[in-house]
Amino acid sequence: MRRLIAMLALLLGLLPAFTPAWADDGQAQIVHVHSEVREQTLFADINLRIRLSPTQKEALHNGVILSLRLETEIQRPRTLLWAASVAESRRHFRLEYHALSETYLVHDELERETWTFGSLASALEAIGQVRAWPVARADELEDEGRLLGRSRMRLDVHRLPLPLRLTALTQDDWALQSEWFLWEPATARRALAPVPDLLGMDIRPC
Amino acid sequence: MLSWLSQFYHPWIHRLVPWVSAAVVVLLLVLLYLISDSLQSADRLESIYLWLLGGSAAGILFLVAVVVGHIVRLVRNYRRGVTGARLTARLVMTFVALSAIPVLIVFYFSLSFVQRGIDSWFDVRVEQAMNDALALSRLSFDGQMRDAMEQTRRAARSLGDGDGDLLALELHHLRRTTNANEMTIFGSRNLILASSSDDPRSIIPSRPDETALVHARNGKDFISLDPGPEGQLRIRVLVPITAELLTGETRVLNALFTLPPEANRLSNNVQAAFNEYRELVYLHNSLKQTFTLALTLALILSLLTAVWLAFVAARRLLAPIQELAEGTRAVAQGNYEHRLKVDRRDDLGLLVQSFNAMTARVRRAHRRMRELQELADQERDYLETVINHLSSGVLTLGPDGQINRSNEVAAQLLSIPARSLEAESLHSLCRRYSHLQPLCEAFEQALQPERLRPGETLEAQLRIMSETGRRVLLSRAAALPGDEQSAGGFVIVLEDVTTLIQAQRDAAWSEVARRLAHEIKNPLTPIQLSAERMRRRLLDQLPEDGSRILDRATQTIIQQVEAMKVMVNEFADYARPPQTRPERMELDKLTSDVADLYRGSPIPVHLIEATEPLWIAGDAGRLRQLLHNLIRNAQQALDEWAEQHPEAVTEPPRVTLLPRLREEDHLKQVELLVADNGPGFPDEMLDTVFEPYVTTRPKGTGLGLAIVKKIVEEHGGVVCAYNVASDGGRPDTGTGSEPDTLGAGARVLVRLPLAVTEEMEKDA
Repeated sequence: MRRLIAMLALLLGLLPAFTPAWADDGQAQIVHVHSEVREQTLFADINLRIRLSPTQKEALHNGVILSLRLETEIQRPRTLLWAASVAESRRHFRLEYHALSETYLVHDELERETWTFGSLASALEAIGQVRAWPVARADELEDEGRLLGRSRMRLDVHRLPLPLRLTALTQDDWALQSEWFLWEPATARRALAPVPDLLGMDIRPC
Repeated sequence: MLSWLSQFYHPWIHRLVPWVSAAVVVLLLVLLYLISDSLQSADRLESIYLWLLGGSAAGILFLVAVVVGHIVRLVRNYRRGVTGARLTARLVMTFVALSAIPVLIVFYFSLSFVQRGIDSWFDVRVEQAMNDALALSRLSFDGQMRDAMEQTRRAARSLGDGDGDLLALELHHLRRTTNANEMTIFGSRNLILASSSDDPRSIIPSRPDETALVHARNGKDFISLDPGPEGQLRIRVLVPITAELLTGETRVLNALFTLPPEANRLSNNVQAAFNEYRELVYLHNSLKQTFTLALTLALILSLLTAVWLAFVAARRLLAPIQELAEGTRAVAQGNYEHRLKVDRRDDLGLLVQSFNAMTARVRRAHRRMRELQELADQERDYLETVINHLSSGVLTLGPDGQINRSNEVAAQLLSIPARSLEAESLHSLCRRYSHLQPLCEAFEQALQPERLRPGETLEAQLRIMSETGRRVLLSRAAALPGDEQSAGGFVIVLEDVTTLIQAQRDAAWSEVARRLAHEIKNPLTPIQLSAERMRRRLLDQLPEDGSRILDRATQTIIQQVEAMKVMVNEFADYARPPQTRPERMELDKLTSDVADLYRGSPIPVHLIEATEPLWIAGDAGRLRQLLHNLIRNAQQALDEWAEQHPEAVTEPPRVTLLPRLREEDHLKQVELLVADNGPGFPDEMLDTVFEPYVTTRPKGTGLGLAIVKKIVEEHGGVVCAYNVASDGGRPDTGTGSEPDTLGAGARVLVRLPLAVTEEMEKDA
């Protein structure tokens, strides 16, 4: 039996080569989430800070399109098991450099809109101002008890050109991923109250 | 490591592994195809690419495990010397070499072709051309951009500080005059004050970049190309409105001008081509790495598959050979029942068939051999039983003189322990037991394969000294038939003829004595009577001279006749059948009585008394005669010796009597040793001292010791005579120890059976 475990451990040790490296250098960070219910929909406003690494900037200026993925989940925490997912929502932003006009294009796939920016900083700032994102239907969230929202932003490696994918997965200078930001979803009838720090997690009431 | 891998290799896993491996190989081939396919159309597969890579890694790991398992087992079998391991190793090496070398060659050239091929895509001139095309595109828009700037400036100047609808109308009018297809006025905090567009669908005006607005608000003009939403390249101009405003706020006029569709299309093409080229240049290292990875995966897959297939092929090829080896081992260990399955029609199948035929033949031969051996065993047992129950002693010897077999009688006849005959050569036997010297003298030289031919016999009469005296053995030796390679050895048959000869001799003497007594006695009486009558009649009538002669002569005749009568009576006594009346008596008491009679005689008789009563069943009168005969014999011998060789006498002559109980091998016997310190028996007479008329003395009748022997035999005992030399040496005849004080001289040893006493009966 111990030998089997040893063999599994050996296999697991080889796995990190094929899983994304976790970014903890703060290149992408969610600083604020505000939510409210309007017209039976839970909307979220998310403020992010994004900074690209030199490698990513070089790739961008060489015509590589960077796809940034914003993920939001509404979860129901459980005592013994992991939290159950109630609703999930994803949003993609495509960042592209336009060589002819020397501008940066940001394409929002959800709203099917393209914005043009003269500088990379203003483009990233624009991506970092997510407003009125419908993340869930309000009736889905009713009768679920206490809920917890979490969001994160990351570079979608799978949308990179194929030769880059393995490099992007394994190398740290390609890592762009924020940590999960936990927030309490607003409800129509519930009054906003600070959430007790039950699990020692970084919970910020909005 | 080795052991747990081998444990992991369970039998059912073992059976499953080849199929799983084959499936894995097929799967890996599919994966490789997909990977190479995805390299060509990079955008098609998204996250599948990762799954493909992970799947390939897992499959290759599995194959590695299978191959390592095979190698581990091979190494273990090789070390243990399992049959076929060496051949498997050689086959695997050959297969691997055969497949690895071409694969490696192809791998090397593919890799270098890929590297060079990718490098050859890029060229400095192409890159320059691309940059130039982009610059040219920009240049081509320069005139239009200047024009747009001019028009917008003019419009900004003409704009008043109106507000609300008035401003919108004015703006709409201005846009119409300037060919701009969108115009917007931004007030403070970048609020849109008025907007006009020629596209009725667009409700929200296109906002400029924040930095451009800040730029314009600081009083500087801003102009740029703006790729629109549908790839529509436009010219964006931001100009501050310079009119003095009552509110003091700074307004910015934002105008968008479309480009001609043809110019738009061309510039888009240039942009797309440039972008693609830049991307390729940027990615070419990663591309090379990816191709190398794919090729390496293919190489590893090929090599692993080759090694694995080599193992599978070697096993299939060697399976019948291993079966044959196992069969051979079984036959070598004596299992002739082993049969191999014949399930193939090739050369190996033929080999297996011949092996089975051979085994069957060996099996039959072995069975026949066993039957013969059993028969031989039976005959040997039969012969052994016969030999052991013969009254003759039998010894068989190998050609080298080694004793192979003997029976108990042989050991008894030779007076040696039975086990000393085992695996002993005749020569060493004689060296160990000196009394067997005559046996060796008779046969040792003759028993050579070249001297004694099969069928010939050699006869000899041996006299050997045993503990019961001399023993005469009639022995015959014959050569045994041998086989072609070696001589057959010899057989010696021993028969004890001592008693036979003795009986013959005794019978002859008795007969002689009886006849002599009869023949001599008959004339003696008439001679005596005649002599007496002659004397009575003639003594008075003859003259004095004559009567004196007559008197002396007749006296002599009468005396001699009397002596002759005594002698004849003794003869008659000797020849008479025994008339003993045995009764229980103590030999030690009798001995001390007789010794008392000789107290004061010139040659003293010492008695060493026994420590315990010596009960025998005997006739006291006969035994007393025996003692007298022995003591007188010894005294006379000492006396004569002292007369003839006074110079040789070193100590006072004496006779010693030693009655004692002798216990040997749980057999108790009463022993009487009569010893003197004289010269001993002459060597040539030792054989015959107990026969009548054997004497050294001129006056002796020669019957003294003969009568002793007769009395001893009447009592069921044995008697023997021997000498003890001055150095203590004497023949090893098992006569036991004696006290040192007896000195050198003659010994006569009488042994009588112990009578069963009342205590002994009680014990029993």
